Formats: sequence, structure tokens, C-alpha cells
Amino acid sequence: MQRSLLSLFLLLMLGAVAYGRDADTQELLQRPITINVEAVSMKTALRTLERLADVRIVYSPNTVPASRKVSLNLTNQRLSVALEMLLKPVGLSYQVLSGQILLTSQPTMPVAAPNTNDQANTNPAVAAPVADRMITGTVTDEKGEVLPGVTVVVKGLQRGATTNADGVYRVSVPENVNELVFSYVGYLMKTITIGNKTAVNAILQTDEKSLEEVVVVGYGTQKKSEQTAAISSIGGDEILKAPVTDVTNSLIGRVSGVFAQQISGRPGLNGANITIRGRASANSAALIIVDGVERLTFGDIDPNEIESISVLKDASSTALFGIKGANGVIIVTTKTGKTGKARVSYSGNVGRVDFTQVPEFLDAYPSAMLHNEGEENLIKYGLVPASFQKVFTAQDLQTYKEGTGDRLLYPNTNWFKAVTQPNWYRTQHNLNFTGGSKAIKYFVSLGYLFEDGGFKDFSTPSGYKTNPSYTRYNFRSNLDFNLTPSTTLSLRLGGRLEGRYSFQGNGGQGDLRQRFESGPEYLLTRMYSIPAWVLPFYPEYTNPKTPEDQRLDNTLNQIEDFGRAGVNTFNPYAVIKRNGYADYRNNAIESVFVLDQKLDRITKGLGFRATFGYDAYIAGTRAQGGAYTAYNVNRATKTLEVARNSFEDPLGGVSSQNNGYVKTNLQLALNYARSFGKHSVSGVAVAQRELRGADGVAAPFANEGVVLRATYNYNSKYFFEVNGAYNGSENYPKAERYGLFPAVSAGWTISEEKFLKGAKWIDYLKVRGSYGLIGFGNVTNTRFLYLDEYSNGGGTPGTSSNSVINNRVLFGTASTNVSYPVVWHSRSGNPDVTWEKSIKRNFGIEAAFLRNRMSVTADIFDENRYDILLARNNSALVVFGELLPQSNYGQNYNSGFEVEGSFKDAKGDFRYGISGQYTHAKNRIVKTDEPTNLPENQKNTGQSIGQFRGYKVLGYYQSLDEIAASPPSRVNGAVIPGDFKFADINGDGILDDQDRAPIGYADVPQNVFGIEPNFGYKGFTLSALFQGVTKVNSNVFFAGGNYYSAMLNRWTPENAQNATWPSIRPRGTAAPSYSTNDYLLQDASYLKLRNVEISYAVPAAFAKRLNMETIRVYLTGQNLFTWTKFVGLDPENNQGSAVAGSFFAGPNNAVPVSRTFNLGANIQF
Amino acid sequence: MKYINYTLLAGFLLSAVACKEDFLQRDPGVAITQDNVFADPALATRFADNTYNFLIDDYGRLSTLQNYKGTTGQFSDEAIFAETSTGHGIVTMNQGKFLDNFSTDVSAAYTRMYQGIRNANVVLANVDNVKWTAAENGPLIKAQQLYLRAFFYFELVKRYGGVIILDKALAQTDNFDLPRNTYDETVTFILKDLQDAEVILAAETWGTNYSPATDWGVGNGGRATVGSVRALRSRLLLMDASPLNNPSGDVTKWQKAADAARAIITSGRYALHPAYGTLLNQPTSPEYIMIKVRAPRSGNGGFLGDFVIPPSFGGAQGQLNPTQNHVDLYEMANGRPIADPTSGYKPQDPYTGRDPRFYANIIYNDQTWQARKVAMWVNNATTPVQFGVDYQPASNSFTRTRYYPRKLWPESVRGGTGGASAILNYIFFRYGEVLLNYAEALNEAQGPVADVYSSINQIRKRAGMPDLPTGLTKAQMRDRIQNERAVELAFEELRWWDILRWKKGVEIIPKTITGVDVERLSATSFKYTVIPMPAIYQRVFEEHMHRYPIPRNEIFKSNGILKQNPGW
Repeated sequence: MQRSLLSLFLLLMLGAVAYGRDADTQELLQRPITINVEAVSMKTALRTLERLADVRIVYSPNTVPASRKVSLNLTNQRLSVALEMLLKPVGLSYQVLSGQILLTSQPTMPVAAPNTNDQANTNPAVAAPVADRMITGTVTDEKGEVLPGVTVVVKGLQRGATTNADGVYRVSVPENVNELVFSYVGYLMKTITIGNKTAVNAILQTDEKSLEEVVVVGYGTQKKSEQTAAISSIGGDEILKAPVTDVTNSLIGRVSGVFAQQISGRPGLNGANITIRGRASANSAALIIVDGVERLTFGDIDPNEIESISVLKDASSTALFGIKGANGVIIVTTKTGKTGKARVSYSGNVGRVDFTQVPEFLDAYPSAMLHNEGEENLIKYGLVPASFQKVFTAQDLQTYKEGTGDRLLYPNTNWFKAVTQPNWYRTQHNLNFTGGSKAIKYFVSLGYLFEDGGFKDFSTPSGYKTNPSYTRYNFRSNLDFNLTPSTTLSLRLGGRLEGRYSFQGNGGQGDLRQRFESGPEYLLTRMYSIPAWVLPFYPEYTNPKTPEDQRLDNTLNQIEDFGRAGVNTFNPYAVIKRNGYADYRNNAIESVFVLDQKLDRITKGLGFRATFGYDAYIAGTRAQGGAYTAYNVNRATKTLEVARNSFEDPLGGVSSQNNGYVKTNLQLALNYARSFGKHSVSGVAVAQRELRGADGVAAPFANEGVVLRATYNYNSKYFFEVNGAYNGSENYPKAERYGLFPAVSAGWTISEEKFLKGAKWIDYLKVRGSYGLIGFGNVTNTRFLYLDEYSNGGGTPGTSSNSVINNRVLFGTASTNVSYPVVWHSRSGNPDVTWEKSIKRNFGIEAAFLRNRMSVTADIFDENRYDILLARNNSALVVFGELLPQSNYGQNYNSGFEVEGSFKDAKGDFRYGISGQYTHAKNRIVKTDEPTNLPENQKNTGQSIGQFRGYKVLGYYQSLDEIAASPPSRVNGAVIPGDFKFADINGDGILDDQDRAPIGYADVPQNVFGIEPNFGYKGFTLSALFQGVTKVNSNVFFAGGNYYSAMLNRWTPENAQNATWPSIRPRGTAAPSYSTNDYLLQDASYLKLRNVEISYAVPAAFAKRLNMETIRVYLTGQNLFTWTKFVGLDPENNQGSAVAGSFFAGPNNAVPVSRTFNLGANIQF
Repeated sequence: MKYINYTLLAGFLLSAVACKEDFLQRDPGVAITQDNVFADPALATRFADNTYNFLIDDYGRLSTLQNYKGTTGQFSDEAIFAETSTGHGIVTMNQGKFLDNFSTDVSAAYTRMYQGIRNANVVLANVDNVKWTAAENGPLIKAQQLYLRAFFYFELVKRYGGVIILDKALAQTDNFDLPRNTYDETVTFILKDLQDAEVILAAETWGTNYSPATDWGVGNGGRATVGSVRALRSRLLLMDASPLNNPSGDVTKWQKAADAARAIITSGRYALHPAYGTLLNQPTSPEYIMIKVRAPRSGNGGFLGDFVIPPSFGGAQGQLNPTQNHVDLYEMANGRPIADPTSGYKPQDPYTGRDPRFYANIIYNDQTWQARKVAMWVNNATTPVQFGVDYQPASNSFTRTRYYPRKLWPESVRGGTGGASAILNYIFFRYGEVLLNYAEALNEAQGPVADVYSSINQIRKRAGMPDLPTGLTKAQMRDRIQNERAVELAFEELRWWDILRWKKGVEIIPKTITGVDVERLSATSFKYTVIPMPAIYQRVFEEHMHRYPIPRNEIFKSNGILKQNPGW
């Protein structure tokens, strides 16, 4: 024990970089021993050795005469000597396996053990009749890691061997037998024909459907075979296939029931939007649990640290989370040490990144031509006076066409290309140490990640960098201490340091950090609306070397030209170069302490667990802003004029903002699991409480409650489970803070029944179902809605616009006035406010065929979400005179199904398989806050959340006569021939916004799927993930002031029959055809080659020569190809938050999604 | 075993801690409840003062995109909104889409007025129970609430006609789906509130020298006074007598309106400010009956910087552009309309010899402004075509009509940072309007009698204009008065309402909106061509639009109880 405690101390002191003592077999056996025991039992002697040498000695009581009295007197001798002295007299031998010492009764075939020159290497053996030939070989997994302890059986005989610590076996095989069978827990059984080989190597495939597989569930783990809930999980290896910086993106396409889309390509802010089984409420964010403790995200964890991710989907699995569980739960578990020798593993990769799909703008000539045509349309149809001055003369257009014009007067700038790079780099490195002894297991990981951004690095007068980037250092130390045989103490300590850097762009809204998080996006949305002919760009003067270049850079590259470009257009390069930078740094320490105590002494199967989580976050944003002199072009004199009121300001003072909070989480649990004959019962009872600080002076978030799970199964055939939580949140009125959330579920393993047992065609068949109630109280920005409050004071009155209600009031005169404070009803409380509730049902079926090579899981589910918080202001008449409080009113229904399947097989050294999943979810608003008598076409009730609405296009107006004969249009802008003719939905004879109706689908997909074929040959593996979504629309289209190739086939009198675009209007002019309609609504479905991994495991022998255990090199790619009808950015960019009609993309997802080609290696020492 | 014991002990201790009460009690608590507010006279006073905040009290206010943009003058023939985005709430109104959500003067005004009414009603329900001390004056607070409630209902009745009258605050559990009161009931209700307010205001004084019968004195200017009650009554009764609400032409209504205006004139409290051009820029003035008290305005963003002043003068957008239609209403300095062939008006020298109020209200091409010539011209002689710095054909941030509103742009205010601030008052009521109200009502009640002439000539005299010619018929006088209001009260948020109450919307609003094209011939000579404005600036107006519709969603919310105005 002393050693363990000392180790603990050291580990903590050294930041847990130290690793366990029993590093390898040789070292282990050479540990010095001083022992002096007389006439003790063999068992005691072995235990003493265990303690002294800090090793684990395992044996079967049948083989070792445990009570036999022995004596042993040694001083400073090797452990191997001690073992021999003890074991030889009783005819025993030993071998070292995974850092443990295994005692065996009889000598087997000598096992080749190149690395262990130990004479004591085992030779207990079969009472072998005739050893006709000796077969040897190495067994590895798909990644080339050796597998110790694999059972190798000679087919048809009771004869076999196990692999040693290096995965090597040796077995004698009679001449008439030609097959070896390899089996190992968690891997598919494999039969190999020997032929005339003497060396038979085997690569075992993991059995993802293994019934022994243990899955992490809420507050514990469960065997997959005993589950009655809908849970999907994914292992660390799968996660590592995706070269992504934000690990949330790894889930895309790999887990059924998960809708995940990457909405941005900005480094460090490019995580996936994840919802589980679609949306049932406006806030559909899933609860995230890391190592048993709630966290806000898991996107910034180093993927190398992740052991598994479980996604809990139905009532049975999420009821334990009670008031927080209704949107589903994602449980991330980090790696822990495994008993055995120390392993050092390094993985590193470098990726080349570019944008998947970038907006394509027309060159100066075609876009100027379209602009001119638009202006001619205005003149032709009398929308402007005859004296209207067009921007371009015929001569101008000709100059553009020839491309010979002075760049100042005839610019042709593709701004996207001007400021972004064709490709850039990312790199990621991870070093981890893992191992363990009887007393301590450890996993220590250090990670580094750097991801560059897609913008060019321009030199700036103030010396800041213009390309955004993301840097992350991850650190993790997961330790498990066996304090006593029945007590384990675990520590999960994770830390990270993140730096997100960017040029400032132009602002955005909110506090410093929010501005930082949208600054470049705002710039991009503005930039996308600048046609090529508006502003010149002189790349030759960027990064100026001479004073003259500097001067030109500061003038020619700072043209804004309000007259031609319009207000609110900026010179994108000047903004990047001169507006300053912002830097957001986040420091996080997340720790979890777990004490596990077996209480078998009280009653067998009872245990106690205490978990304490302590997280601390400190984040800071630092920014410096500048300004630049903008110029207008005087086209007559070809000179630049300083735009009024613009001025040079190198960089102002540093502004900064700090945020931070501490979170604590305590869980006390009693576990019980025991079998009585064919009856097995288990139970978990947890008392839990959490306190999460809030930034600034806001009240902290608190929740507490009791969690209960009880399971019963009969003969591993019939399963029953009850889950429930009684928990509460600080956010509700005192009398109503707690709620009870129960769920029941049951399962029936039909394949265990007599009539299926032994059936050839099916290996496994189970049905299961669940039903329960879960809550969702985690609605943001709606705290303490029960409070009814009056406030005192009021803001300072402005000098423009109507008085702002609840501001102070001025009386006196404009020059001498008194500011009178006011009192107002600042919060109208609802004393009955409570959480959203959800009734969820799930029915699932699991089956395996073809000797477990093929498996299928299918679930159907539905969810009735009710008591959704809404302020009834849209349904209550405003004569009430005040905003109504939020009340639990809304109701939504969400339903769907998911299917996942996999197939795996091997032919000799060739392995292949395919897995896939498909999820469909559709929701419907049952009840929401809208006027009772709203016309049917405008109602949200009955539609999906995020349903698009707009006009229905009947065709083009072919002539002025047709316009005159049609219902008058009061849609934004005057109608001209070639405009869309909209349907008069409400039949009132006028086209206006009352004629908008649901069109297309919602802004999130209804269907999402992934298909992953994979192949392997010897050390090579290849896998590819195809992922896609369907039934989704986006209202983002090109109305933002620019001209696109889609517009070239516009309606003109000559092209009236083949037109695919309405008549052109010049930018900035209202055009009714651009009001959201079903013609321009984009189909945002896509199919992507989301991920490819090609890897090669260098043969073990070769690796050994380099003193390495395994070497694996791999080539991975993410978002490689996209098949979509979507025009503009990547279809994923436009999910969820597109701004209607006015921007190219929403302000938060204007940076195109990125694609990565990645080369890496993984080395174990 | 030791460990087990420790663990259990620790566990039980933690469990004990876990049972501590009120772990979930985290709310910040409530400092003030409604009971507190009216138990404390200081807080009650503050609650009452907030009622003023609900008034409609500035020129630019109609845009949903920038709350300082958009004036009702841009609904009328007075001006256009250069930017055409629907969100500014002008285009929708111009197109007759009063029911559109962006038409905030229809939708948001309705909500805001009922919010103000609620605030006043809450005060009125409690004001008599507050234990007032010498530091406050309960009756005066009550009088102000009555006045403000009347003002809110006036804003409603002038838009929608009769509305739901609430004289106490509804409870959340009450039925809000109430029928509208009639137009007459609403007017009667307003008159009653005004009467009640006036009685108190005339009688009460506060402290030693604060008397709302005259003025509140230092630090309280801008509160309700007897004068402001009478001015609102004058405006209400004038509206009530106007053709929209007086289809039968009941002369007694006009007489009542004339009497209401006359009560202010005979009080002798008010007089015309001597200089018309600086009328809106005074800290105090004998002409002001009630103004919105507001600190001086700068040209850095906001109403001036981002709505009135164009980029060429350092602002961001010069979007409030007076029309040629409005400019044409200014007579020549000799008192003759420009349509009169004897007026001396020269279309190619249009800005010479006009009513002095033209120069006070309008910025035009080639005038000197902020120490330079305003250049809103086009030079077609050069290639490429050259434009004056104050006009950009492709940019709606510059004037579309080649005019800017001088009345709303104090010359000392430059756009952008660092410029001087200046007073630009929003005027609820001024004496000049009262004189015009009187002239109009009296002419309708009695014909062009001497008092009509004298009232209107006072206005003209102050402006530097000759008297109206004698011997006008009642109808001629009506036309001159209506023209006088358009010119005298330009951009003061009255033109649109005048047109509606005169029921002249169909006649005036759909008229082609024009601007002027200015071609530069030489440094000093220009060619002026009146041009129609693009279609987007043209207006639709139909008979039923003289009354605003009740916001559409309110009708949708009601179970048929709330009735829409005819035609909508």
C-alpha cells in the first residue's frame, strides 16, 4: 500500500506524467525481493510476494495447492528466483501476461518469446499424443496491435494454446487437422486453414455486436445483451477516423438517431450542431455528460482521450436525467489505464485543409452586363424616370468585356479569392502513457492541436496576423487506485488551454466575445454582396516592401466608393488589414473524483460510489481595434478622394473581457447487482446535486435530485427495467421545483427460447420497448420566470427616436434638464411556471445472423413534448397593455424510426464489411402561440418547427398585359414582365404577405444516413463513410446585391420560354421575385463522402527492429466530396440559422465548411 | 475494513450535507413589488413619470430596422424615404399595405398606446391611496395621468376611429377580447379626461412657484399644463369637425373647435417666436405649448447622422428627401402661388424669390450649406458622366429628389464624430398651430371673417410674407389655410394627419411624386427639370385608407368581437 500511496503522491506531484513501475516483463521479473516467511500457506506466500513486488499473481485454486505450507528466505533476489523456488517443488510454472503473473500447473509447449529471455517461460502442455507439426504465429487486431491471451484451438481436438504478451502462440497440430480456430472476447471468432504453412498469423476483427460488450449508460454501465433502452455507442477508434478539430464532427454519419451537421469552417468554431432524433422543441440541444459529470460541450476534448461515446435516445435511458434529459443525452467516457505493462503511444498527423464549396461570383463583365440590364428594365417599365443615370455606358460595358480597362475605373475583383487561401494546414499530436498494476492504473495524455484558417496572412501596419487560427493544448490524467481489494479511487483530470484568434472583421452584436465570434462572418456576409465591378484590389501592393508600395496599399486598397458600392459595403481587405484583431482564450480544468467501495460484507453485490466533479473555467477575450482612411474614386479625374469622416487609427487600446466560473457536482450512489439462480437483479440509487456558477453577477445554476434504476432479468431471456429521477432545478417556484420522471422498459431475447435456440438462420433476436416521462428545464434566458418584479432607475434617454419605455424621463429644457428615474413592472411573473415535459415511446428489435457476422437494429419512436414555454403575446390581444409572462403552453409531436446494420466477414487475409444507419424524424407543432383565427396558410400549428413559408410560383409574368390582368401585387417591389407570378392563396384578389404558405421542408433534415464500407488485407485497411441528408430546405439564395451564374439564364422577352431565373433588377432594388418562394427555395439535401481512412500497420517484426511495438500509418480525409443541388456555400453551412432572403448565409455560418486531407502515424513503444 | 468505514462515514457526512435545505433557492429575490411601489410616494411618482415614455414623441420612429428612421411626412406628399427596403415601414404604407407588419404606425402604435394606457390606469387606480408627502403632489400626478391617457386615446382615435376604452388595467385573467367603443364615445372619453385634468391643473400649485396653470418652472418643463390640455383639445375638436368625422358638415362642431383654439389665444400665455427659421432649436420659447424635452442631438448616427445627413456631409444616409410636390407649395415672396402666372416664378431659376420659409425648410442645389455649395447636379458633358458630391445616382444614401430638409438639420450639426450638437425639439403643440387651427375652424364655422385673416396673417407676418389678399371666398380661404399649414408646419408630423382628416388622401397622396433633375451647364448655371420619382416612391391611396385598420393580428386573435374598419 505504501508504494501505491507514494505513487499516487508522485503522480499527482508530477502532473501524473510518471507511470507505473512494472513497465515490462523483464523489469517485472527482476524486481528485487527480500522475503522471510516460515511455514505459511502457499496462498499467503504468494500474496506476500504480490505485495512486495507490486505485481498481480493469478492462478486457479484447482491447480495451486493453496494451503500447502511453504517457507521462503531470500535477500535481495530477483522475483523470478523467488517464484521458481516456490513453484518448482509443486510442479508449477508461470508466465507473464499483460503485466500479471499467471501460474500454470503443467508445462505447455514452449512459447517463443523473443523479448522475454526468461527461462521460466511456460511449458505446461497438453498430454499431447503426437506433435505432428508445430505451428506458430502472431495474433493482432485490425490495427496491428498484438493480442495477448487469445485462445487458439486445433479444430476438432481438445488441444490448444493461448498467445503470450507479444501475441505469439505455438501449438502442435496433428497431420490430419488443417484448421485453427482463434477466439477472444470482444472479437469475432476466426477459423484459418493451415495448409502447408508453419507460420499462421491471424488478424481478429472486433465484434461490435458482442453480447459481452459493455455500454456506458446513465450512472453506470450495462451489458449490451441486457439492455432494454435505445442506446447507440461508438468507440474511440471510430472517432479517430475523422481528422476533425472539434470532435462533435466525428459523430456525423456514424451514430443512428444523431442529426449532426458541421455549420462552419472557422477554426475553433466549427463544431457540429447536434440534435438527437430531430427536434421536439425550439431548444433541442442534447445534454452532455463527460465521465459522469454534466459539461457544456465535448467538442474540445482531444479525440485521443476518448474511449467511447454513448448516445441515449429513449425514455428508459434518459429518464435518469429527469429535468434535463428530454433532448437526449450524449455520454462521453475518457480512456483509463489497463493493467499491464506501460505503453507509450504517439500519434501525430498533418492535414491539408481547403473549403468544400465556395460561392461562385460572376466576373466583372457578366455581372456589369446584368446590372445594366436590370437598370434598363427599370427604365423600360417606367420604374425610374427617363432621366435615370445608369451606372455603365455602352463603352464601359465594352471595356469590361475586353478586360482592358484601368483597374481603378474598371475593377474585376473576386473578393473571396482575394482574401482567402486555396489551402492551409492543421496538425495534431498526442502522446499518451498507459499501463497499470494491481494498485494503480493510469492513462496520461498530452495533446496539441493547431488549425490554421482559410484567410491570407497580410502584413498589417500594426503587425497583427490576419489569418484566424485555433490552438489547443489538451492534458489528461486518468488514474485508478485500488486502495484495498474492495476500494477503488479514480481520478479523471482533464485540462485544456485553447486559443482562438481572428482578425476582428466588422463587429457584430453583443459583448466582446460575441462580437469576436461573429466578426469575420459579418465581414463575409457583406463581402458576398459586392459584385466584381465595384471595388478594385491590388494584390501587388499587399505585404508592401517599399514606402511607395506602402502608400499605394494604404490608398488603392482602401477604396470603398460609397457612391458605387452603397453604404455598408466595406473594402474587405482593408477591414481585415486595419480593423484589428481579437483573441479568445479559454482555460479549463475539469476533474472528477470517484470512490468505489464494494460492500459485499454487508450483503453480496452491494457497492457504494461517491463521485465529485470540480470544473473551473477561465476565459478571456482581448481585442484591439483600428480604423482606416477610406477613399472614393472620382471617375472624372481618376483620382482618389478621402471619404468624409474616415480617418486613420492604427490600433486603439486593448479592450478585454474575462469570464469564468466554477462548477461542482456531487453524486452518492449505492449499487446492487446479484444473481439468484436464474434471477438477476440490479439496482442503482443516486443522490445527486450540481452547482454551476454563472458569469458575472447572475445567480448560479443548481439542480439536485435522486436517481433510481432497478433491473430484473430471468434467465437472460426476459428483462425488465425501471428508471426514474426525482429532481429539480433552481429555476422554478419553490413549491414546484421538483418533478418525478419515471420510465419503464422491457426486453425479450427470443433467440434464447427453445424454439429458436440452435436455429441456424438466426443467432440472436431480441425485442424491447420503453415508455416514460422526461423533462426539459434547461431553457436558456428564461430564468426565474415565477418572479414578479418592479425595477427602479432606468436607462439614460437617447436623443433620437421615440422615448424608450422604462428609460428615465427628462423634464426642463433641452439645455437644462433634470433626468427623472422611473419605476416599472420589469417582470411579470408566472407562479405556476414549470419545465417542458416529454412522453417518449420506443420499440426496438435487434437481430444477428450468419454466425453474428450480420447484425441489424431497428427502432421506432415517438415523442409528445408538451408544456413548452411560450409567452402568449401572439395569441392575446394587445389591449392588455403589457407583455404576458411565459407559460407552459406549447405542444409538439415528433416521431420517426432508425435502422442500423452491419456485416463483416473475412476470406483468408482479406476482410470486408459494411455498416450503415438511417434515421428519419419529423415533427409537428400541435399547439403554439398564434392568433386563434389566423388563416390556415399562415398557421404554424400542424407544421414542422422551422418550416419554410413563402409564395407559390405559378410561372413568369410574360407581359405587361398579363400583369394588368392578374391580381395586383403588393409583394415587395413593383412587378415587371419576367417576374414570378405568385399564387393568390387566400383568394382575396391581392397578392401580399397573406398569401405566403408553407413551402418545402423545414430548415433541418428529416432524414439522415451514413454508409460505411470497409476492407482490410493483412495490415491494410480501407474504410469510407458516405453520409447524407434529405428533405431539408434553405431559404438562402442570391439576393444579396451580387450577381451569380444562375442569373445568366434569366427571363428576357427573347428567352421567355427557357428562363430559369426571373428578370434582373439592379442590386439594391426591391424585387418581388426574391421574396421567399418555392422556386428559389433551395434543396439543401446532400450526399457526402464524409470520411475515408486508409491505414497500414507495419509488420510487427519490422516494428520490433525499430524498438517499437506497433507502427501504423494512415491517410484520412474529411468532407472529401459533396454531391448536392445546393448552390452557393456548402449545404451544411445553411442549416438552421440562415437570414431570410438578405444574406448569402446566416451571420454565424458564413465561413464555408472545410475539407481535410490528412496524413498521420500512430506508434506504440 | 478501515477504508470501508471511512468511506461510509464520508458518505454519510456528504449525505447529511446534501440534505441541507434550499439548495435550489438561487433566485436573486424581488426588491420591489407593486405593493411597495404605491406604499412609497417616491416610487409611486417614478412609476407615474414613466407614463410619459409611452407618448409618440419624435419625428423619426417608423422603421423596424433603425428606430430613428421614418416620419409620417414620408407617407404624405411632403417627402420620400430614399431607401426602399420594406423594413423601414414607409414603402409598405406608400403601397397602401397598412396591414403589413412593417407598417409600424399601424401595428406598433396600437400596442404602444395601450401600454401607455395601462400604465396610466395603474397609477389612476392607486393614486388616491398613496400617502403623499410635501415632496410630491398627488393631485398633480393624477392630472398628468389623465392628460396622458387622453393623449394616448387621441393617438388611437386619429388613427383607427373608435377603439376599446379601458379605464382600468386588465388583469391577466380578464377577457381581453372586447368590442370597440364608437368614435363618439372615444372622443367623449378623451374630452372628459381633459376636463378632469384641466380642473386639477388650473387649481393646484406645487411648492412655492410651480404652477402648471402657467408652467412648471425650472426642471419640470415638458409636463402637462393647462395650455397643453387646451392645445390637445383644440387639435381633437378640429379633427372631430373635419370632413372625415363630420360628413354632414355640422357647423357647431367647427364652432366648438374654434372656441377651443380661441381659449388658448385669449389666455395671452403664448406668442409667436420671432424667427421662423430657428423655431425648433430653442431651449424655451413663448411659442412652445408642449415639447418633448430631449438633450441636444449630434450628427454621429441616429436621426441626424444616419437619416437626415448624407455621406457627403459626413452622415451615413440622407434618406429624408423633401419632394418637388412640397417645394411647389411655397409661394413666391410676393404672396402669390407659383402657379399664378403673375407670381414671377421662373422654372429655370426656381429658388429665387420664394417664401422665406422655403429657405428655412429646404436645402436645394447650389445653396451654401456648412460653408460650401451644395452640389446635387449631374454633368452630362463629361465622360464618364460626373456627379456633384451631394448626389450619387446609384446610391440611396443620397437624395433622390435633390432636396434635404433644412428644418430638421441644424446647420451647426455635421455628420459623424466630433461635430457640434444642437437642439432639435419635437413639438407636441406650438402657438402657431393653434392660430392655424383657429383660422381653419372659424372659416368653416363663420366664413372668412376678420379673425380668420388676422390669425393667419400673424403667421405670415412672422415668416416675412405679405398678408393674404382680402375678399377671398370661404373655399379660397380654405385652400390658402390648407396651403399655409403645409408650409408653416412642414416636417412637424402634421401634414399626413391633416390630409386624412380633410379626407383629401385620394386627391393628394396618389399624385405623382416628383423631384428635380439638376444638370450642370457651367459652374454657375443649371438646368432644372421636374421628374417623376421612380415607381417605388409613388403611392397608392384609396378611400378606406383615411382610417387605419386595426392591426390584422388583433382581428385574428379576436373571436369576431373586435370589428375591422370598413374597407380593410
